[in-house]
Amino acid sequence: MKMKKVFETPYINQLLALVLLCIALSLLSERFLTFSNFLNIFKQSSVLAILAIGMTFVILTGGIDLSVGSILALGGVVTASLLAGGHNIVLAMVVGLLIGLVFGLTNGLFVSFFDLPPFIVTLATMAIARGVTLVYTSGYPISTLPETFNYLGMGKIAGFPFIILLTLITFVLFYFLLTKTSFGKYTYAIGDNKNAAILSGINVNLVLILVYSICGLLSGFSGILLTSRLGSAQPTAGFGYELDAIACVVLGGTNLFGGKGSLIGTMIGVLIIGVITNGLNILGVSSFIQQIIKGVILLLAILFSKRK
Amino acid sequence: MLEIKNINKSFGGVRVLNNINLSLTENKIYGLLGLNGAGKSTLVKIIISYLKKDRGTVTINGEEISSIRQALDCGIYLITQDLETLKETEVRDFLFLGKMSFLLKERKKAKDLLKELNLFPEQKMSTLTKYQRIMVELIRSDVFKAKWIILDEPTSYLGPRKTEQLFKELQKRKSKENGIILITHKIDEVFSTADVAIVLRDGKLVGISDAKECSRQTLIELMLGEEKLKICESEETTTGKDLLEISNLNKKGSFYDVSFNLRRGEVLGIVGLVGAGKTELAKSIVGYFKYDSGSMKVNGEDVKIKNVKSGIGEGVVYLTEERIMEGIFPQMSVMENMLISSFGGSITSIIKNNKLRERSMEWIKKLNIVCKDMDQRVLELSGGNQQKVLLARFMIMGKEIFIMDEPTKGIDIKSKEEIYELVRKLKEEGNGVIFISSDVAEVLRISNRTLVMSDGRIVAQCTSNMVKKSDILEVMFK
Repeated sequence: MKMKKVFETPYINQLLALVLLCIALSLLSERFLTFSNFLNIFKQSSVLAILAIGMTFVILTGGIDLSVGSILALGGVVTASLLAGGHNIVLAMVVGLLIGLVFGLTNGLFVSFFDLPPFIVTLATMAIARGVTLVYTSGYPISTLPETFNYLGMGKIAGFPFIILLTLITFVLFYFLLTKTSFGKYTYAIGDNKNAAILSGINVNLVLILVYSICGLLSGFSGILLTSRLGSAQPTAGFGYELDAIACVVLGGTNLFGGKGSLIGTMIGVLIIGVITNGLNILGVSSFIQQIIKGVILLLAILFSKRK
Repeated sequence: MLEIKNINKSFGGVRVLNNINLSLTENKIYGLLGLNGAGKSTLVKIIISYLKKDRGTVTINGEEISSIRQALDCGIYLITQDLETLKETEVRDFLFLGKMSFLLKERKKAKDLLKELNLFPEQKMSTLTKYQRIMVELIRSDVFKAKWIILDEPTSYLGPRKTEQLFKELQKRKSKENGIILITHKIDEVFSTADVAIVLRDGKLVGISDAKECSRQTLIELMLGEEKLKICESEETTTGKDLLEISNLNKKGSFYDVSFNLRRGEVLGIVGLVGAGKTELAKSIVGYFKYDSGSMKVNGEDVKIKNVKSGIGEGVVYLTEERIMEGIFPQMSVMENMLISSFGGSITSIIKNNKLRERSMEWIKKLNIVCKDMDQRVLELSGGNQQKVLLARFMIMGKEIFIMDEPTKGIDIKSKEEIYELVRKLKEEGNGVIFISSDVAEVLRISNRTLVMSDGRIVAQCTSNMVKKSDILEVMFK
């Protein structure tokens, strides 16, 4: 009976998986279980965490957003090129965010007003955003960015990486939005039963547009952060990140068909993916094989969530 | 001979069927009665092996049934409650779906039978009415040479006339050596159609008897157990001020020239067959559908309702007839389900948990909702309790005009009584209630005035204490 209680604690499976992973990795490599490596994991996971926050909102409505990785890249290169052109940092970042917002808004409009399947809509915008990025940069990375900008991703506050702080603030903000506002409840409601949501007086189209806009905006934001962390913007950045973000959300216990899930779960999912990526890197597993492993994890996660 | 021995079944530790023993013979119609959650649907799903039983056996003429395929081959055919699946399939394909081989002769015969129903073999399943769908299922049962036909609450979505036609068809089949099991919670149907009444309560077989030998009262008592039924007195007419005035409302293909008023402190019943346009009318008034022409006044002032949100803003709230499809948020908690509409559709309201929890507790008590706690998922509640959660959502908004579409459809007698009581309370508080139902007896009992709708028009208007049920039925079929 007591054992049963333990297994009913929220996120217990995810937390167990995380702990087991950490134990296994610390046995496999002595470089894993160190304070600096853990800070590293958090730093590396920041970009993914912000993408996954937006993705959680979208998946809760029963949708999906495949365009996040491409929007990340576009937001990154546009901000970087403005900075390289000597423009004001704030201006450059605002433009990067706006680009994310506009793409998200477009996704939202097509999904809500035209009632098209999110999978196809965001597949299309994924191609468009990536294409624009490649045309805009002619395929070359943009580097030599101002020191102050790079501080976002590389700097520290009292020895604590600034990028982790930014991620935490983003998390708290959107956690509040999802759990403490009517907008958050509507997000769940739409994914759970769209018709009932309409009949409950919820402006479903508006909420959907906002949800996809949030996801786009956060994709742009994560693009800026990634650029700052690496000190340069790559046109191929964020390739395959949509898979990672979806994996985090699903690993975190969010129902892929909407209506159920949480941002706390997603954060645990981000840590699981972060630890796996970090561990595989330490163990010297090639990034090609890592792709295979992540794909398998996503499949297993969906299988597991379905069985529950 | 269909024999059911020692059937036991539990779902997650809850015993839903407890040692059921039945021995049924062909040539009879069995009325399987019971409240929601009594185990009726579970039992028949076990008979066809759709659900696995924990213990016991099902045999037909001595052969034990252990798979759906075998059940079908042995001639057991179940017509489920859920008739919405297979939308795009053509009728002719549906008829032979799951049949390994068939003769052209059979196809020809099926085609002729469809013709009798004015149906085309190429028609898509989604274009059929519920009644046609059941008839097609019956033809399919012939294709499979079924000896036993089980119908799971076919009449809960049929109007009285279609119900009668269906029963005639069943009688025909009975005389063709078929055995029929009819699940229902309408007692009158058992008296009018069945030879044997079987009553289930809380997963136990509590009564089986010749339908002609038992009284209405005993059946009700068997279904309810200890609970006693409350009968209410007839209602008076009201003279309150007009709360809602509808003038010449039109929507092509749905309803025409609808005009009526709803007074304060009044329950206005709307009866009509399925397809009479009641739901379309209700949904147009609340802003879910757009109407073509006409006007509406609330409290004497002209209003234009653009969508459900603005409808709520004007004080009009709607309880859907489709509890599962359009009502509940299954994965969300009881509390969230009750309070989702209480922000008036605003997207920027901040949620104050303590206050909301207090409010939910208050309504759970007020409506006597049976749940573990307010954080339990609505999915896990019984139909009657889900309906009460929806009623709470509807009443928490604090509006004055309540439109209830089939509020007692598919729920047990006890919950029904509680809903009638709520409607009465709403009325006494000076609100206006529009009570839409295809159950004439129910509408007459609960409402002050009754409108009869037929083919999209209001064909009669009457005060309840002046009319008899038969009069209304007559107007409905005119």
